[in-house]
Amino acid sequence: MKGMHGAIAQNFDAGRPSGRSVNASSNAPQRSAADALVVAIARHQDRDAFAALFQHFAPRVKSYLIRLGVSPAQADELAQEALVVVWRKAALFDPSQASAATWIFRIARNLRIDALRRDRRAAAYEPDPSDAPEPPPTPDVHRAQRQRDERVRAAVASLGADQLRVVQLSFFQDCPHAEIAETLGLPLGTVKSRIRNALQKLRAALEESQ
Amino acid sequence: MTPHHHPSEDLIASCAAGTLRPGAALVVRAHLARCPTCQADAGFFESLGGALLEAEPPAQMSDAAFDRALAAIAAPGRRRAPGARSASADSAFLPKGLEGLAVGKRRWIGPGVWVTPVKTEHRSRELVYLLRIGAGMVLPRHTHSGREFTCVLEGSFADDDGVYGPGDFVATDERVEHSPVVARDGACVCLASTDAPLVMRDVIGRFFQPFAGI
Ligand SMILES: [Zn+2]
Repeated sequence: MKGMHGAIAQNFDAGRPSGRSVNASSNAPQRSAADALVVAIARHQDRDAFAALFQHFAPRVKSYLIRLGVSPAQADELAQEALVVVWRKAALFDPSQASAATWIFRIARNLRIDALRRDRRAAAYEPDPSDAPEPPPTPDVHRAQRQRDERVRAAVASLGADQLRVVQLSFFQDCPHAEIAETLGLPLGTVKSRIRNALQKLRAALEESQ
Repeated sequence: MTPHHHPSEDLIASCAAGTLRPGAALVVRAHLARCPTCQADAGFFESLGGALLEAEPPAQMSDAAFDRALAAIAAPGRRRAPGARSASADSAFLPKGLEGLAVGKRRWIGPGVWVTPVKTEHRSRELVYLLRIGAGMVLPRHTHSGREFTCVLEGSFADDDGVYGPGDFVATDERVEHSPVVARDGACVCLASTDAPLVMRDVIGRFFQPFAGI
């Protein structure tokens, strides 16, 4: 099936806002191509859009889950499941509130927490507020949240490979600094200053968005 | 009124990243639901999660992965039965933001004092519970074991360090010894978690020695 959004799907580069360059001083919320794909799924059950989203995000979700210590086989299954949830919940996605990447991150994070629970006992329930719609804030708050996504993404893109690595280890894996130093074969002081510098950059991005 | 006592930034980050122990995460989320400042902070860390997800090097998906996903989206969605959400009848009295939480049997400890274990259904040795203490009550002086987190849901209590009202978040450990006093104008309800290998009997004994034997 060739949907009306085939063109978006073909030129898909999720990291880049469609049609314009990132302009940190702009007040208009940025939309990424990935956002348009989720919206296409919500409006038209567009399978081409789904294919493009799957191709981009499933391998990244899998990689993220493996980083958290999930086995490659289970990470593969959970990555599929995450994209299926994206399809089913597409109507709840609001691009004025969050980027598709942040929304998909929340879905993947919650699926992993669910999977840990399923391992222990089936059919348990815990409220999962994080991918449900939040109580509605004002349009200004929405715009600020959406801009925060763009600025944080730009800040992460500007990190050097070394800084990115320590941020991944400390945020995704919750590694203590000493463990990161051992993993990377670096002196503890170097790790600490890298994390400090990286967080400063990211913090600056946050301050800008407030 | 917004809370005055907040979780540390590290706690908020690991809650947003999904790496925090599930019981502790429940207590942090109870605070986030009542604190716009920390909610914004958690939002920043979720933005970071999204940005880092984009930066992940793609892993190779299995050959059948996409076809299986296509089959799954073609199938009708699995819906949870409406009743499946409330895991126990006792959850009806739960405070705002915690509706649907699976709780155990509410235990009467003394006049105006109840403890309700919260089930987290994880492979985790944490103990999570709701504590309701009557107006004007003084708890016996006690210390803490392990890392304990408490979020006030209703009412307020005070100790040597300050006054804790709705939404306030308190982190305590072995070094903290106190004798909290509940405000006279109403009962205080808290959600608490501990990672020490305690059982409910220990918690009850520690807080309510005067009532032992009731
Ligand atoms: Zn707060």
